[in-house]
Amino acid sequence: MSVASAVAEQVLNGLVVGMVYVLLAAGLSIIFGVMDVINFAHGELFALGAYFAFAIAGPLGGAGFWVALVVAPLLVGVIGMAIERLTVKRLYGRDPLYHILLTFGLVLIINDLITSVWGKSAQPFPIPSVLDQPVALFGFNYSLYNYGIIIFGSALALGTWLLLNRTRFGMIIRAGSEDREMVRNLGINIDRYYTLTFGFGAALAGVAGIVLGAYQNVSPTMGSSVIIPAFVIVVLGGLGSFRGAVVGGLFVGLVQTFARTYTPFLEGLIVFLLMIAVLVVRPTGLFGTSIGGGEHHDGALLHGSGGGVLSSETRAKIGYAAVGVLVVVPFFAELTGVTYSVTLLEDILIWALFALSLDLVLGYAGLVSLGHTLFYGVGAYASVLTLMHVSPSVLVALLVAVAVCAAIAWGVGYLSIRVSGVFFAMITLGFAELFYNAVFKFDFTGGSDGLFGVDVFYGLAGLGIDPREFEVPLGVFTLDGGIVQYYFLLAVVVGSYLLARRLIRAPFGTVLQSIRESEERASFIGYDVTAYKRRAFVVSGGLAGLAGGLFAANNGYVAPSFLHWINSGEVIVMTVLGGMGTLYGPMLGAGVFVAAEDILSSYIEQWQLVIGVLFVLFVIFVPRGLVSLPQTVAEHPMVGPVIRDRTGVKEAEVEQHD
Amino acid sequence: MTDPILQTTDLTKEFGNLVAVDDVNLEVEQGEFRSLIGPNGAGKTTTFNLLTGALRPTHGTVTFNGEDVTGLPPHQRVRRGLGRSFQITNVFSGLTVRENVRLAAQAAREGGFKPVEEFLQRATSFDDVNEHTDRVLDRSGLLGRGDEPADVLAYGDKRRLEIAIVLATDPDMVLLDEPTAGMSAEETRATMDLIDEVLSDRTLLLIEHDIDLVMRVSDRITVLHRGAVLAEGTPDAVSEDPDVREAYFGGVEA
Amino acid sequence: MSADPLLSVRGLVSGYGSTRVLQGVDLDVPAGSVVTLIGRNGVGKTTTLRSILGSVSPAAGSVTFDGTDITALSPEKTAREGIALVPEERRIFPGLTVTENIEIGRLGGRRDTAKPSVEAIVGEFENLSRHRNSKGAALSGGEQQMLAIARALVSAPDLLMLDEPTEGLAPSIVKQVQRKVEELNDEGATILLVEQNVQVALDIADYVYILDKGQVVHEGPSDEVAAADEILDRYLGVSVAD
Repeated sequence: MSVASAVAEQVLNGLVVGMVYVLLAAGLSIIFGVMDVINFAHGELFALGAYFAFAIAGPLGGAGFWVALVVAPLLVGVIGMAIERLTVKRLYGRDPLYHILLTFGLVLIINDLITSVWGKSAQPFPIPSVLDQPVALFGFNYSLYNYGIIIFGSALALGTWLLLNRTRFGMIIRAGSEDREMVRNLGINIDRYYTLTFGFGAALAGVAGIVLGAYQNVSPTMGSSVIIPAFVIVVLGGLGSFRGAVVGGLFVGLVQTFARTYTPFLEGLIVFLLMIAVLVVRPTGLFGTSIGGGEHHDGALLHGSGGGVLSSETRAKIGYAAVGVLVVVPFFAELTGVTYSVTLLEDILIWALFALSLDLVLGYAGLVSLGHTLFYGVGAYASVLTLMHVSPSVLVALLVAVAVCAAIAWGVGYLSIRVSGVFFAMITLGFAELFYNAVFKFDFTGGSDGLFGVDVFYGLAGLGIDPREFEVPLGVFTLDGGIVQYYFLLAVVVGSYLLARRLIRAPFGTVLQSIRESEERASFIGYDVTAYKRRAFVVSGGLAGLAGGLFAANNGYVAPSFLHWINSGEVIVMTVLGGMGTLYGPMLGAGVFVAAEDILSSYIEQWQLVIGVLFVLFVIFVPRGLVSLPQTVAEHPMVGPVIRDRTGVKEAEVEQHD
Repeated sequence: MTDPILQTTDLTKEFGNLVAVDDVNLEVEQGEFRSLIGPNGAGKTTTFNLLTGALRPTHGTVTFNGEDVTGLPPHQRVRRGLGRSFQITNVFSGLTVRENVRLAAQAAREGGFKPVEEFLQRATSFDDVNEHTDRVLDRSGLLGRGDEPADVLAYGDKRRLEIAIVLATDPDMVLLDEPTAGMSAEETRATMDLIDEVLSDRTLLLIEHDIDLVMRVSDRITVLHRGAVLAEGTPDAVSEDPDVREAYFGGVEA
Repeated sequence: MSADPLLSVRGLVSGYGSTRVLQGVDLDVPAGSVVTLIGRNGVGKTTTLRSILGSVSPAAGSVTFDGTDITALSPEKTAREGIALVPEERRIFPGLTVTENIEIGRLGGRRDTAKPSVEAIVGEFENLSRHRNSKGAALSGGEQQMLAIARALVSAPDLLMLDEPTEGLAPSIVKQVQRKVEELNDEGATILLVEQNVQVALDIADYVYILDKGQVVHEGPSDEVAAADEILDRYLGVSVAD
């Protein structure tokens, strides 16, 4: 094959992938533009489209594909409308963060439904035989199906453009994305159009799923593997811009394809590098006109509050009791033989520290970091690398982890904190994905296997404890190295909590709280708001790195999965679940989440589904988190008066968050 | 005559084709109570934003205390002694009255904080900041209410807190943005009395469209019209100015 | 004014959050008349219009329109009853063309009434007919104001509410807007106008309400109010003692 036709084939391959991206990103972008909703479940709707088609086409045989191509997207559209009506709709007017959280819960639900119906493994989805043949064009053979994708995708994109620009529906959608209140003032019920828009976007994702499913195969992970590139495209093209979605989709498809062939090293990295570069130069994306939709949402982040029925003394007592219990658990575990509980507690402690770190930026500085696992993962890699190459001392390893992560946080913060809101979220996500893809590329990070087999020394310069040689016989049982590991972890986590509390009560923390209350006012009493946010991000990055480093040191390994975006999602879930804006809330949230996950997964197969449903309900009904449950109960119109009468709680008790 | 505390030179702000502020030259003397008035769309708010640093001028300069502050962001201007109040009270409503004032006092602390102090010491443990906070609370009549959450304060007290926060930043000059907008006649009087009582030793620049109020309180008045200075002088001189009457009063003859 | 007024507002109390901007407003708009609300900034003029439309929910009082109680209706329902608002700062859709801006207005308003065609409305505004395919954002301030009025008119409203239509416009354009409003009234439109420019307000209106601190402090036929120097001075500061 000549060079020219080789390039031409690459271009065609790029356009095939690009078309799939266009269909995905168009729906995502329209939904964001009109409703300010960042739909993380879009990838799962995409997968649903593929699976529905798979289920329809299989039994019908030959013509089945064509039936599926019509019916499956309609089904996905109906599901999209139901999702909007039942869940998304309830959160309009709140900060976009809550839509991210909600749709993250939906990801768990839909994904678990898919695996429980169709199984965990990938399955072939044959394309109709008419299309399954090569055509000779431009001097080389190329699959007719692939040509079909390009033509069909172009037609759909054109159709969408016409729908948006040449129909009454499209006109109202465009007007609504510019000024939805004014559309209402004209007498038009825009809510109905929201539902239709969501359904339409979902149907487009469904089509994309079918097209790609038949191009490759159907698998339960197909949703999570496209959602991040789709976000990149939307951000690259400009949030809410249809043109941006089309240009961005094709561009990313081409760039990915060419990178795979000509610069394999950059494959998986280049897209994120591009996104970061575009956002740094032009925060509104290539075709974006305004920052984040047409108007500013007025909903603020909802912070947890420990007020209500628990006094701060009570909470302090509960805190001491919790630490006390954590101290004695290993002994009981040894006595009863349930040593497994110690492992679970270690997990909880590490996630608690991770959630605490996120809360410093999310709850105190009001910055939604969607890529916080960046620091967790980098901390883990840094500490394992230090243990392998520099010193077996866990203290040195953790110190390096914290320092490296704080430095990265400073750099990321320097680039991104001036662009606020959704863009900060996306840029942090972009950096996390960049690092995630990068660790596969290098030998020193162990590629896809990661690094394992490190020994840890709990001390410095020979002074300390080597857990492998540690043994204290205590009558009926023997304490081994595991106990050292556990108490070290407990000490670090409790110490970090106390440090964070100090920070929050120090001048630095009080300024963060003032920024949270009113950024404008904080600036007009003389505080450099951006600098304070950046500092909070650095502290947060350092603590997240500490959490990652602890996990790696404890378990003696690190793998690319430490940097996977699912972790970022989970840690946000924990933080909000517990109650952001308090330090103990996110830690509590981590405990509940990790324990629930552990317990549910050992009893039910569909535990993700259960967690997802619980979480969706939680976001809708208890957005201030577990720590504010007492207050929520106290303020309930039925219960409230009774409790207030009995305890004399003031209605609007406000206290220092700590 | 001493140097003016605030001076603008050819201050201009264009939004596309619209010239919102057109070659404005202002000189405010130390200790003066100056008012800036003008009909809607005259460029008052834009001028205000240029002075606070919320907007950057298209060209022209702002000089404060002899220093060119044109390129400085708002917080830097506040640190140099150029404070502002908000039209709609903008206090930290989730915090206590005392904490609101303390935060402003903390920002204004002489010499700032050493890193250890900034990050590890309790914010409420600095005697100088606490004393400053107490003085401001006392002077603004809020001493007994320090522990109350700001958001449950009555309207008048919130206004009081608003002024107290400004005072706590220890400004040489305060920009007042329509401090009595939306107030009843009684509240208006109370607020102006409060400003007089609490901020009388500072240079004040009041942005206002209520001409009665301006006539009553100002030493000098600058009248803006279509982005430019139309007249400037004592209340009496300005009220006699035929241009002002024509422009500001929409041609309705008394 | 013997017949029932088209719009009747009684004891309207309204505001944002805990701030009460309106503290009991009473006003009537008889069919076919132009009624204006004047007063200083922040006295509640815009809030009055927003409360009538329903984008601010009144805390107390009632709004009756054409015999129907519309106090609790949402903005979309109120608009369907036949009230169109030309809001402050115009709020046209900048990314939509002139024609589209008017088309979308035609989708609103009462369902049971004959509406003029988009073409007919565009034809009425000469400075719009020249730009029918331009994006709203490309229009000048005065053209945008005309577009906002056209967008409201195309829904054939029974009551047209205009919020400061002359704000920020050059004097010659102010005259154009003024003429347009007078023309509409001559054709029988009922208009409730909020106007900062006292001269314009008094010229156009049949009847004037002066608002201060969230209450009507004075009302009367416009020629009477125009002659009441002392009242204008006290509430609007529009004349200074000689």
